Amino acid sequence: MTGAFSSSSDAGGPPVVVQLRGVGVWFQPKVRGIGALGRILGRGGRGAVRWALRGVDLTVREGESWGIVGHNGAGKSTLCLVLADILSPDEGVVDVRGKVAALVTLGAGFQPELSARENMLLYGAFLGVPRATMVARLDEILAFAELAEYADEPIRGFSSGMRARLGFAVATSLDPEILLLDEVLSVGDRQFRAKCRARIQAMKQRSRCVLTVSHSVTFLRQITTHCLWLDKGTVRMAGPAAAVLDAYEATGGESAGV
Amino acid sequence: MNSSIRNVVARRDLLAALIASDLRASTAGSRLGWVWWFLDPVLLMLVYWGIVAGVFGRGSDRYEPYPLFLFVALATWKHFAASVTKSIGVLRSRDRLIKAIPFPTIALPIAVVASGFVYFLAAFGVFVLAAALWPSTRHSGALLPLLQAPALMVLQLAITAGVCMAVACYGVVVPDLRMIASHLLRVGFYLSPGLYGVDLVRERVAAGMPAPWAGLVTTAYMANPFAILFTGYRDAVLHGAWIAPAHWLALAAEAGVALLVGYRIYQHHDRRVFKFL
Repeated sequence: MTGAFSSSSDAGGPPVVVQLRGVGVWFQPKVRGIGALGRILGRGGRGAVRWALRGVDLTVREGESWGIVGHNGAGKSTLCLVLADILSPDEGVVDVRGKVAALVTLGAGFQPELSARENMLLYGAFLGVPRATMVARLDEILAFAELAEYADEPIRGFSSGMRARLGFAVATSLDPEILLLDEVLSVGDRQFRAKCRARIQAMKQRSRCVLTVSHSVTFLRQITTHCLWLDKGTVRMAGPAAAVLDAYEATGGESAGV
Repeated sequence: MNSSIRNVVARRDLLAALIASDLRASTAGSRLGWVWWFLDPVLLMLVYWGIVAGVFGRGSDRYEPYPLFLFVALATWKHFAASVTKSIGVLRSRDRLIKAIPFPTIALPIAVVASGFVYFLAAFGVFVLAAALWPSTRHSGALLPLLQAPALMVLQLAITAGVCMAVACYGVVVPDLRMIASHLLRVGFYLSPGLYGVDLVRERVAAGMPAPWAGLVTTAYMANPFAILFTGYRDAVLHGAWIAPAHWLALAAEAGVALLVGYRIYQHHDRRVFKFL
């Protein structure tokens, strides 16, 4: 459920950009065939569910950069999907005030038979970028992705790195108010990764707030002001980045670089 | 982002891009390219004509010109059957995308129906051209009934879109739906007057049961929207005849119900389906 909070939640400090109250998302073990049909028809009850998120509260104010940490299966990516309005919570309220760009799975909509240029137009359409805007940016995006000479080649022949570069270049050509990053900085070679970091820094400066999902404590220490530590779908700790990351590291959280 | 009509309208650029990319992808990697849009229904018609008229010696004496009589039914059914089959797998085939970008996912089955409709239009163009070059001896000479064809197409689109929206959801949770649907579609085609005319059904029914029952059974048979669509296209193009008002009413009601029910089903399951991908 999404909804607007009262203005009282904005009182004190910069305006609230993202607010979550008691957010919960459950998944069910995979069931196929008639059982699954019964489930989607809403018959036979919900049965056993696994809560990927439960009772998550979060308030992000303008200018803040939040990191989301947690071990595998903690619910980080599910939270990202909820924030991006890809997945609706099963309980609680989500209020996101602004245009969100989620850099989650880059190049997910690419069609192998189509050329890089055609795929960029299609990907842009999925992202909600008007066609005219996308057409005007094509050359710039291709140049950033270092794929200008392959613009009219079907991407069937592209390596996974080339596809990821193209996806990153299109997705980061937007000017979002809220930026969501989910482990996307491992695109391409070392040189291209440096380019990606520079572009994301530039996007961060233009956006109202940034939320970054990462396993890397070192990286999050560099770029975040606050952190949310998720553990088995619930909030273990939230607050200033240094305190949360120290506590997370003390329990064996990863500290490898990007 | 939910799949409301408002969101789909707001993202019409996406719908147009999906249709264009689907059409482009269908011709990419093929030497004849878009020529297949015209060639494919003609070849399909030749296969059926060869079997029904050539091997079994049926059809040509009763329905003239039989190849065109067959052609329009095959093209119409192909649009429906191909759209349904593709829609069943469309959400699953785009699961990575659905999990990565917020967009009204209902655009996916709608784009399947719309791009398939472009192939149908190409086939229909061939049909009208062939009908002009190969006029039926049963044509009234009136051209105005041709104007019924676009209205039939709108209703055909509504019925197909309604069914496709519903099966797109259920295709996610029932992996066997594609297999089940392929058999149901085959049965559906042979039960519809594609290879034969409604007159034959009426004749057989009248021969087998008392008059009041025969009338009832024939009316029930015509409740199949494709019975009206096939007959309607033939009347409009091959015979220069007007479709009965009762058939228009029945078809419009069925199209409205299909579209509404399909949309409501999609709306209801929109966000739930994500968890099964």
